[in-house]
Amino acid sequence: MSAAASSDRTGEAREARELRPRARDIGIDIGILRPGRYGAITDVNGVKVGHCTLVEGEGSLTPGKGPVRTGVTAIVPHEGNLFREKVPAAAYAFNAFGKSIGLQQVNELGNLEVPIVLTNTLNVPLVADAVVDRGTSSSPSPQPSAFPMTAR
Amino acid sequence: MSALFLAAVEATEEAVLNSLLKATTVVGRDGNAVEAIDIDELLRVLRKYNALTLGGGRTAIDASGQTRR
Repeated sequence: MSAAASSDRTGEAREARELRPRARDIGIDIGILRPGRYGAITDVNGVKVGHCTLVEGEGSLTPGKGPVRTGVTAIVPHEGNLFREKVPAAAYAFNAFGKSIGLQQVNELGNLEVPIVLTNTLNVPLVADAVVDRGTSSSPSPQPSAFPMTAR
Repeated sequence: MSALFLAAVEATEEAVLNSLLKATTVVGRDGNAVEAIDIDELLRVLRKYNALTLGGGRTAIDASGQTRR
């Protein structure tokens, strides 16, 4: 499938998602606290989220080629230097089938010093590598080390 | 429970439900399909068990008949 066709399909999926309701839209009201303006984690000042969905090809699998159904989501907790200004954090394994990198440290130290990145199981090491690159080369002050935090 | 922990619990629960509701049908390799939740059918079941918020969110009854708050 061409890149144009796959991006069309990704666009169609986005439109279909926009037509579907969120919980509060249909009267499923969670808990007792009031949600933020958009009901999104980016309601919190400084929190940034980046996301990419990849949908390409169909039919039988050709390893290394496709079809592709995956994506990456990156969450940056604040705009400062996260390594120097860590944030409180904890992790909980729900069904523990996915692969993770960095959760041990989060639970041991109770804080987070790198962005959280989510992707498919097989790409966790690849994404962790990218987080290390980003952490060790970020200007103006590269981190002395970078423990990636990646999970499926 | 601290306010921070309560907020984390509630935000996570809502995020999971939003994710389930917003998800569209995906057809993967060899035509394997994972169907999106049928919203109308979901609403029918939620109404049956009085699990939808009533009266502007003041009272909601869950499936076991317990008042949530």
